[in-house]
Amino acid sequence: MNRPSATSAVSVAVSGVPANEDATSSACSVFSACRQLLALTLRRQLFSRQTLVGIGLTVLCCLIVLAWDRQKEPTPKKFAEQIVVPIYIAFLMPVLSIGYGASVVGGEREDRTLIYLLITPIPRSWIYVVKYLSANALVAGWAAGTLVAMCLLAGEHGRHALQPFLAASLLGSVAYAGLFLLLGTLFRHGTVISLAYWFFLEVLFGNMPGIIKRVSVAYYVRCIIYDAGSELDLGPRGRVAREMFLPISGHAAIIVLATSIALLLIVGLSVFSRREYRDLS
Amino acid sequence: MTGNLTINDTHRSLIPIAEFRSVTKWYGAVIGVNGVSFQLAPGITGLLGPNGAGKTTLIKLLTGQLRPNLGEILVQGLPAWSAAAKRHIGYCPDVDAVYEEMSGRQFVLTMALLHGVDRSAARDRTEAALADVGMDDRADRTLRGCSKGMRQRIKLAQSLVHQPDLLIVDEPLNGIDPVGRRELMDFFRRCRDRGQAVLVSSHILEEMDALAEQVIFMGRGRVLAQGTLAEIRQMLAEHPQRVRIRSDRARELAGHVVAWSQVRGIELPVENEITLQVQQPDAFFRQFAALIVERRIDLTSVETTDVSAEAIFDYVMSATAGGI
Repeated sequence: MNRPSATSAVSVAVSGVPANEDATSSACSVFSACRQLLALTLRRQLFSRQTLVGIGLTVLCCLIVLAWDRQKEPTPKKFAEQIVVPIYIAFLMPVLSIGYGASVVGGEREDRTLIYLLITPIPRSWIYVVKYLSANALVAGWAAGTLVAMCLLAGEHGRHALQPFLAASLLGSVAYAGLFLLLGTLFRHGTVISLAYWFFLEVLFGNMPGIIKRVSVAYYVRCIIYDAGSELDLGPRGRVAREMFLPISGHAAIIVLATSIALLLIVGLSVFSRREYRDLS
Repeated sequence: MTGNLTINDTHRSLIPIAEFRSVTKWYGAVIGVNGVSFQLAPGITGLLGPNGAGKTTLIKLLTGQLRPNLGEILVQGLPAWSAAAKRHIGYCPDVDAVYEEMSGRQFVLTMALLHGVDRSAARDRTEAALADVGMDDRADRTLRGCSKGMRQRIKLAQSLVHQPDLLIVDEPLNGIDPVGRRELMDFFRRCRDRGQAVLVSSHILEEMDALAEQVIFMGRGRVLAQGTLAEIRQMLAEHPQRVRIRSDRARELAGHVVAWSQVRGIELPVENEITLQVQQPDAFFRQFAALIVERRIDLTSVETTDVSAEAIFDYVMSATAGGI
């Protein structure tokens, strides 16, 4: 076998290769390694149990939509309030995000294959960004695809409801994926922690009256939907309902979610770059 | 001597590939490694020590999985934690974890690509690495269905596919049959012959006798001794070494050596054989050689019975416990 082509200062001096050329070559090889990591992550995530669960839930949601569409007087408002918000926004979107978000790093940690990524010359921050991008691509792609399928299956009423939900769905799924990726990075059993988080903070706190629900992602997603779906007469109507929900404007909700997405990425990068995983070997 | 045993040997003259400089790592109140300093040069180095000695922590520090609390670890002059240092490191972990759904060939190729090797070169290197570990004809089987020995070889292949300067292998001989062990030991020797530094952690001390040119003994988070087995034995010259001599004139020999200052005890277990307890073996053997030439004594055999790694490890542990 050939001897290694070391990139140390000594070898550079001996070979006469300029330092900047060596640095460029090194950056190219890291970029190429990142592309390989992205392909590897997407492939492993797509051929996983999460995908089977996702397919099952998507089919179930579509069947529910078909059953709902057989009622006498379906309207876009009913479709939004009876199907999209309770089934898609409150259930399917976070579950898909937990499946892919928490397992993209957490799954490799539990399988102890994360060690093979940590011993490569890819900087840890790049590994996290690649994992983040792949989790977001899968979650946002799947969530948007499911939403489109559900709306198309619901016919004319569904197509009316699609526009107000699409942006909220994309923002919400990216925020959830970033959050659950962070939890999977922080904790050994990230999926369990993420499920507990979803149940207590999103389901319980997210439906409580008052401002406590503002800690949940679901609250801001609903605010965006209610704002964008005002033509469909969505959202809390009447003084009591509004005081219970305390909505903020769709614009403000978008800013909060976008800021949260950025913060989650920064915190995740910082954690993953510094963390010592002692349980891998 | 109160702590580490150090040796001035030929290894010091070589440029180190990796270096620990006063490295300390603790986990809360527990110290993993404590003030460790040593260098790794090309060749095979055995890392020995009982459970809890700090071997795993040391390997995790060297592979950049952990960062030291004090001191620094350099690999080819780069901090071991840095991504750049990992180009020079190949690591075969002891855990039996791989990408189960892949074939051995896919796994090794994937690791080459993750190290930034371009695709065509990666394919060539994958085949070369698989051939090196004797898996080129069996690497298309899914790893989930492979035996432990085959998985171990595939893990070794992935560790060298990017042609590192330093190969770190954690407990490679565990669960491997004798034929497999011999083949792996030959593999390590080939790595050495290519100029790589190989750090092999093992509990199987006998294999280190035959394999490692240098050993690092660890205990309680410290490097207790570093050097060749013979050098360490020499350093511990104050500890009696057993020498078994077979000769037709064994009793006459006993009569001569009994008065020597290096001889601390004599046993005559059977006819034509004596066993000596010797200090300062170099001085003893010089004097002994002169004696047999002068007296024209024929020897059937001369052997030292306790220079095995196991015996030396016991010595080192007891010596450092006693604060030699």
